[in-house]
Amino acid sequence: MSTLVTDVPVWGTVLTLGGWVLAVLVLRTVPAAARVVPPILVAIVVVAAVLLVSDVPYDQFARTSAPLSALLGPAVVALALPVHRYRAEIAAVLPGLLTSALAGVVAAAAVVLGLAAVLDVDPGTVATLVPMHATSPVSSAVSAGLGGSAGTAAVVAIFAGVLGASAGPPLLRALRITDPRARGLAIGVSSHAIGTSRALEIDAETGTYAAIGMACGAVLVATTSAVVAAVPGLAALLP
Amino acid sequence: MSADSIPPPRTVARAVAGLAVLYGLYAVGAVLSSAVGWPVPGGIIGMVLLLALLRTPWGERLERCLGGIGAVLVALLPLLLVPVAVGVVAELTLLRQQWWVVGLTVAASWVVAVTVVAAVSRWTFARRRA
Repeated sequence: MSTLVTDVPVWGTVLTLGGWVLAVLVLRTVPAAARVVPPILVAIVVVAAVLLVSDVPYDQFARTSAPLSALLGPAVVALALPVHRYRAEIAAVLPGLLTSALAGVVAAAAVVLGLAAVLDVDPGTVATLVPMHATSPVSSAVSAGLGGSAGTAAVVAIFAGVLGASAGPPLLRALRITDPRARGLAIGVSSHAIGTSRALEIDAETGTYAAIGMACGAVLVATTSAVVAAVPGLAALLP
Repeated sequence: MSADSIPPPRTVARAVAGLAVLYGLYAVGAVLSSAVGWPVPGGIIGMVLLLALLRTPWGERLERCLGGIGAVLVALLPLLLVPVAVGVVAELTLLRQQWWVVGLTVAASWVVAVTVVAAVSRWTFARRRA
């Protein structure tokens, strides 16, 4: 792409907004796809394709899309609002909610470690994959602490998020889970922010429980990964 | 208020105050996160702090301030995550070498996480209601 365009300090923002509008327009013309594919997935593919085709480094895109990213922190803080609206109901199910989130995080880590032992995966990759079910900043920090690659860990967490946003609702339908609280929590724990943003599009209750699941996931992944590193038999799989 | 009219100063002031609270809590969360050296991001800590503040006697006033701007930001969340997610392109060469191990592990552990959380929570929630 011409440097005349990429030197404009906000071209990344324009590209992201354009990609989003294009995604919404495409999905509107193909309603069958819109039921399965969330706009965020189409927008990611469009923007990533433009970057790859035009050979623009990601750093430059990240710098010029900073105006959007700057709103991400406050938007995550604002997730407390829907959670607060359901406070009475949440307080009643809190023990079950925390148990479920812990069970999910532990089971997911067990699968990663189990596959690593069976497939003889190299320790650096294991350390990168163990903290996958947490929002990107958590997974990258935790995996760097375990001796993995922070950048790849962030990307792997995004894969889990995109998987949750697209395949999450169909999988839950196949499992015959109809309780919006269970659906939201499952998406939030497994697919953090990207999954939660999809859950909020489904309905307020699903989105609320996804936001709680995301918060639980962030705290639990940081804790369980420390446990994995402390257990000698499991630590042997790590660098 | 119709869509094409400029909102009254009171509404604007409220939105500005709400934005200040959200950014302030995010900043406090980020400072706490780096001070303690715990890898939980500032946004998540800020969200927990806001949950606690909403339960105080000022909670209702706070909710009135945050309601409008907070709902807008929450609705924009998927859009705001696009630039972060596009970071995938920066790691493509590394992923290309081990794509099948990474792909298999991510898919398997994601399916297990969804299934376990959904099954356990459905069981515990149902017991509560019964």
